[in-house]
Amino acid sequence: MEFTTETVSGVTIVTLLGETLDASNAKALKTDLVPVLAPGAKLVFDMKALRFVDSSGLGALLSCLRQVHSSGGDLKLCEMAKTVRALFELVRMHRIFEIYSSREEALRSYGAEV
Amino acid sequence: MEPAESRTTNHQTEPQVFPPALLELIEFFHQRLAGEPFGSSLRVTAGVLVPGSSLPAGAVPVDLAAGHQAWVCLSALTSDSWAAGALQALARGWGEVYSASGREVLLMEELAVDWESLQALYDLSADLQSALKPEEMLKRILGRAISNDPSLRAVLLVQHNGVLSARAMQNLDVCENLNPAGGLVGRCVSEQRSLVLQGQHQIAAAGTNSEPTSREPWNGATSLALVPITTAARGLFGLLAVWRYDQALGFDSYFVRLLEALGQQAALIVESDRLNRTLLESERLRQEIFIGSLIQQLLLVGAPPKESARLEVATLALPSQTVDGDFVDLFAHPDGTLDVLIGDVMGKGIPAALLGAATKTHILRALAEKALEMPSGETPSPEDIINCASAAIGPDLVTLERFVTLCYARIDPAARRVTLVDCGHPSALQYRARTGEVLPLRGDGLPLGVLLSERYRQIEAELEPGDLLLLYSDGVTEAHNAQRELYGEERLTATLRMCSGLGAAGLLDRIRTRVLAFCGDEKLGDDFTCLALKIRADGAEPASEITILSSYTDLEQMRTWAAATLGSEAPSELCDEIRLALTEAVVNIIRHGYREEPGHPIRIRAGHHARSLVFYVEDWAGEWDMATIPQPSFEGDLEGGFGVFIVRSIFEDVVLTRSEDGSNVLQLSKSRKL
Repeated sequence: MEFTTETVSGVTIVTLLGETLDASNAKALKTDLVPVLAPGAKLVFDMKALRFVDSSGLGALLSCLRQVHSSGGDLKLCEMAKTVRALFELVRMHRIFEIYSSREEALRSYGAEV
Repeated sequence: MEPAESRTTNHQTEPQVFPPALLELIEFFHQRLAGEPFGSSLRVTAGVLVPGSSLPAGAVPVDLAAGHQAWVCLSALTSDSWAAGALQALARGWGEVYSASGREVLLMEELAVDWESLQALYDLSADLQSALKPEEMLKRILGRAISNDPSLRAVLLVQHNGVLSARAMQNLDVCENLNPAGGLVGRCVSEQRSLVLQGQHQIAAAGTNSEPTSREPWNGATSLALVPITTAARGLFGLLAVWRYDQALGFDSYFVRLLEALGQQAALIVESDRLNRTLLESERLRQEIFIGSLIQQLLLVGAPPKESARLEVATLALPSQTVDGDFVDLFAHPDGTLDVLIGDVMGKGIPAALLGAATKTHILRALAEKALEMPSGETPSPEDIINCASAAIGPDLVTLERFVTLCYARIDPAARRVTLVDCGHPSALQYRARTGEVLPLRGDGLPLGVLLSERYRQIEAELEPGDLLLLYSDGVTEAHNAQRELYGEERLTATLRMCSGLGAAGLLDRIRTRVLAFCGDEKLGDDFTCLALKIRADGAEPASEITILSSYTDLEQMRTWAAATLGSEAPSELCDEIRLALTEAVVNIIRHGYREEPGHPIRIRAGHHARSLVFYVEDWAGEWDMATIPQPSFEGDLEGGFGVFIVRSIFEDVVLTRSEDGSNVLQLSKSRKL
């Protein structure tokens, strides 16, 4: 899946551009995101384009989360579609990830000026 | 099928052209040239060249059987030098191939007559079935004629190019060629009866005076039996002579009868040998591009009508090492029905292939003839067509001692019905999407050419959207592995059930791979011909099932299908849940069942229940159980394991069963809440 990155006040915003994150592309995304997951990175994944995520996609996001946590960084999600949110709630991952409704809220949670 | 206007046949002036007729000629040219720069603008026209008439402008002559000639031209393209060259080359190729093939057909016919007379005359000995060389067999026949008595001499003379020459000898070293009109030989030939002579003087005096008898090998013999051998097809075939010098013992009439029978046997061996040589020669010809394309194009219509709103059609033909008589054809009618024909001629070789072509032609003619008798716009029934074709070709088949099995089916997508006539062919198989069953469509007709009085009757079956019909030749079910185990109808049925959701072409592709995998290194012994038809769902009714292959990239296709199945009225939350749960179920099958090996089928079928939503997810991954997948962690420390949990959270009822044919069926149900 393609994505773009931009840095706002020290926070890296990763915008995922695909509509689907499932078993067909989860592994590849995980690999592609490695350079972004620098030690101590402050990350926001903007998920507004995503319409469908399955448990494999969720697994990829969890992997990213664990990686940044282990190096002292953080990963927050934002702009999640209702259908995607439903999956997160079903497997209770809304309790593991910090999820914000907008990009601005996510940035503010890092103390960044918007 | 090319458009009807590209075919011009003139039934009034057309002589009896035994296969292939003009239609085949056109097809041959059309198929060879169709893909070339002409595109769909190509029009091939052909007609019989009546003696004395001139060739139409731009046409090339083509030789047909028995001195008949036809012409072929490409309309509006004759100025193109490339086209003219191609036309010339094809005409030469056709002529060469056709004349060789025509000779064989005649030869087969001759031999069939000989066989009949021979069987009545003499019970064929085991020698004939042995793999001995013909010269060796002839020598044995002569050995039997003299009962291995060293005082007897024997010679078999065969007429060839106007002289009689020795094909086999016993107790004789040399035999000159003889004139069939002179000496004792001439008398025997002209009187057409066996001669038995005794005493040197009588033998010397018996010959005709037109030529001295000194060259005859039995010169000076004391007893002589001379038997002419004639065959129905060739007239005088040759002579069999037995004689002795030392004793005055004569030959009795019983001995002469034995010689007559042995002579017939010898004739059969020589004719079979001649036939074999011709077949060998054609084997060489077959390597050439023209015969290859002739057989293929004559017997298998290249591209079926691919795009039809209601029908999906695919054909598959894998030729075996030898040329067989499998054939397939499709006729689309203006009323939207489609006729499909699949058949198999008993036996192999170019004669069988040409008989297949002839049968196809006869059926096409029967269709045209019967259609003329019908009120306009109506199509004759399959049983009328087959009965008419059977009346036309049956006597020929009986004469040739060949028979043809075939299945003629008419698919009416609007009436959702298939009507078929089964002439001793392997049963067509129908996959019913609604129930997931496979049913054979079996008639009870005999093969064409078995019984002239046979009346063929059609059978009918209902067709529903999503249903598949599979017609095949016995080369499919009789393909075998190294242990001589047959692929069989049961395996074919299982494959059809398994791959029904792949569509017509996808199904045939799977059948091909599965049969070839089953056979291993064994070569296909027989032509392998299949035709599959799928009844497309109407726009209003989504297909009740889908088959995808074990690849994650197929997931999206499955989700699109699931959304269509649920319909636009379904609440979007429900739709999202079902799509998610089905994705999880299928991913588990791919990951844990098929271990991410690509290319295995997974079928998802929606059940029809008023109060609940039911989906069946079927795989053929062998025995594996979802229960072995570890439980998920909700603390975020594990990345996987949510799949089963998700499936169970969304569907209230999850049941895994193993079906009779070894598949795993995961039944997922959820009650409908309003």
